Amino acid sequence: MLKQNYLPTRSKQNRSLLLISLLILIYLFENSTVTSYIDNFIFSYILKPIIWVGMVFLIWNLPKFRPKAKLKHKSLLYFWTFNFAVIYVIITIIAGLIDGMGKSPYSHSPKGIFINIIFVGTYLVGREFIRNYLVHSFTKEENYLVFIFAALIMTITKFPISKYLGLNSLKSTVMFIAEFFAPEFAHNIFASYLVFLVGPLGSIIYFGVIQGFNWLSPILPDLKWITTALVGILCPVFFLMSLQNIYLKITKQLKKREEDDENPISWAITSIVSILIIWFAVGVFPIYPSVIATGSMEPMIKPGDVILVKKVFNIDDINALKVGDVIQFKRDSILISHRIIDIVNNETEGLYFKTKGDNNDSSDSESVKPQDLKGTIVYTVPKVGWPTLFIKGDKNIDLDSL
Amino acid sequence: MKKSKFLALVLVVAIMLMGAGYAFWMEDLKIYATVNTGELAFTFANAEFKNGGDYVIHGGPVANDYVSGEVSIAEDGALNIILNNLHPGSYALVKFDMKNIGTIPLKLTDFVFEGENANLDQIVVVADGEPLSLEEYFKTLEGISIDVDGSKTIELLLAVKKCATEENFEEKESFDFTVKGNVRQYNDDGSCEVTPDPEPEDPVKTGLKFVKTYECKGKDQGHNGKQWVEVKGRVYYTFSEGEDEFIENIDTGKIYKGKSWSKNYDGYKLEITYNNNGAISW
Repeated sequence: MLKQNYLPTRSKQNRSLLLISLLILIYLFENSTVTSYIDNFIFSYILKPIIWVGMVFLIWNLPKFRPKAKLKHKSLLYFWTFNFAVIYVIITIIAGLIDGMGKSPYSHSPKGIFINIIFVGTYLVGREFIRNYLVHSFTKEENYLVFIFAALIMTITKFPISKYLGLNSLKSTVMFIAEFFAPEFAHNIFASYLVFLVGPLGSIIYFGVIQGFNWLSPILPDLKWITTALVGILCPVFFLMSLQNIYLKITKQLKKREEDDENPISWAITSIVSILIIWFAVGVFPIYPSVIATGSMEPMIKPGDVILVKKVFNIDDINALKVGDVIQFKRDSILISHRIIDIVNNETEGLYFKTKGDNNDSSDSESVKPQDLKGTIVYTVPKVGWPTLFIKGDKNIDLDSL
Repeated sequence: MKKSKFLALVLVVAIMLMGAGYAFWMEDLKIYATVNTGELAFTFANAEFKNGGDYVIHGGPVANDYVSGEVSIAEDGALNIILNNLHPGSYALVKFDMKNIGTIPLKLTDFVFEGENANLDQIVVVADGEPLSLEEYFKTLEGISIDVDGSKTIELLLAVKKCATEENFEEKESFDFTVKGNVRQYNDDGSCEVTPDPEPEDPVKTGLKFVKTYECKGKDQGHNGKQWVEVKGRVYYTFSEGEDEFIENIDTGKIYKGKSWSKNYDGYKLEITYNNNGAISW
């Protein structure tokens, strides 16, 4: 089949540029100091909805595009879009049951709900109409460059400029990307695909359900930033692959052999398991692995064994430690695992631990302070750490300190 | 389909790397501590009725059994004095401590008297030989500062004026009044300056649970239906939802529960209660 590269006509180009310019203009206006001269209520709840309704009206009067999917397939695709949004909400709630829930800060009075629906609704519809026009202006076929481009514009204009300007370190940048930018980008990629397939109503349904939960639910998940990254990025990507799969199946473009290869569920499971394995290894979870290099704790722990260490989080965990516990602590740049032989707590020096390796003749010369503590050993897996020791064998470590 | 898979792969790798960053940046042990704000607390204590009887000007007081008394400390730290069988020329000797049971030095600002007995005017306090009304005497105690765990002992010689007559004083009167002391922080001169407390980190990151009181910079102002206060360059909005109160850090957008807004002399105090993960607490 001959693939045609779709090139936008000059008039479509101009209109697309106009829309992008308008979007950027609105974004800059929202973030400018001009808004401080306008009453906040009037600006947020009257002026902005008027602007977005105006955008919808403008785009409505432009020549319309036909989405990719045929009319007969649309209802099924809308149905699945709705399901995906609900699945996303359910997954975030489950994650919230683990990480914690919190009370919603939004107003739930009838007036508050009404105002919020107007405020959020007009913003949502306006942006999806812009997205729809942009995507269809630049491509007639599935084109991920266009989807990424559209998603990037929509993501960048989602966050206030002050948020970008406030990124002053690698840590804050990574946290911003993980918690906000990347999930929003992933959602926008999926939404760009949705508008390509079924038009703006698809993405309105998707975001509408998610935002509806966000603004109307009395309780909301309060996730750690890494959990938000995991859920916020993986879910839309999984939805994208699934919807693609569904569309190819209903249009009979997917062969049986390919269907097994392209199963999104198996992909999702593989991805999640891979991520969880890597995260476990690097120490994201409360229990992490550590390879033992020396025999200072023989016979309990031998070189090459992998110990599972339960992290010490707070003062309560520290106070729960007792003589006889095997702890892991940091000294200089290495991790040492020895047994507690004494706990000292006095006014002048504070709390500290005296430790000794089971196989050492004498106790450790330096005592362990709470800030050096990493965790307590809960389990030992024999011998599986030898490959790691082999790879790291050339590092010189002062064994006397162990 | 292949392009979407590639995109998915890139995002999965990004998530893995984010996990490494999370483990690295979150590895430090956070010492969770409950930090209490300085507490301003004053009470009367160790009150006792020493003796009472007829008051003789030229000599010392004469003890007898006529005047009896009872002094006690109320739950709120106020001093309650009950004197019985008073008559013109009688006296009562009452002793008590004024104590700082808080964690910061305090200064006595004023005293409030409560008592139904109209004979208050006929009672004087003899201090350095000079009779002063109760109000005048306690005024001399205003401005006294007391250190943490410190106290000041006062011996009160309460006497009934000899010119008290049947019209303005009933004999064998039981006389009951209560004194309350008002205090303020010792170094508080009434201005509203930012105290040099260390600025806590964003509690979402540190998970500290504490209540911190800030002296505000400037007074609260209404702004678009929300009050706000500036504390060390950070602006916090405060708003209510039903009975609950919240504050919003407009830099981070995080919302916390449990703001307490209390007036303190000329300025305002902002108390923020954070729970362990900085979320709005149940």
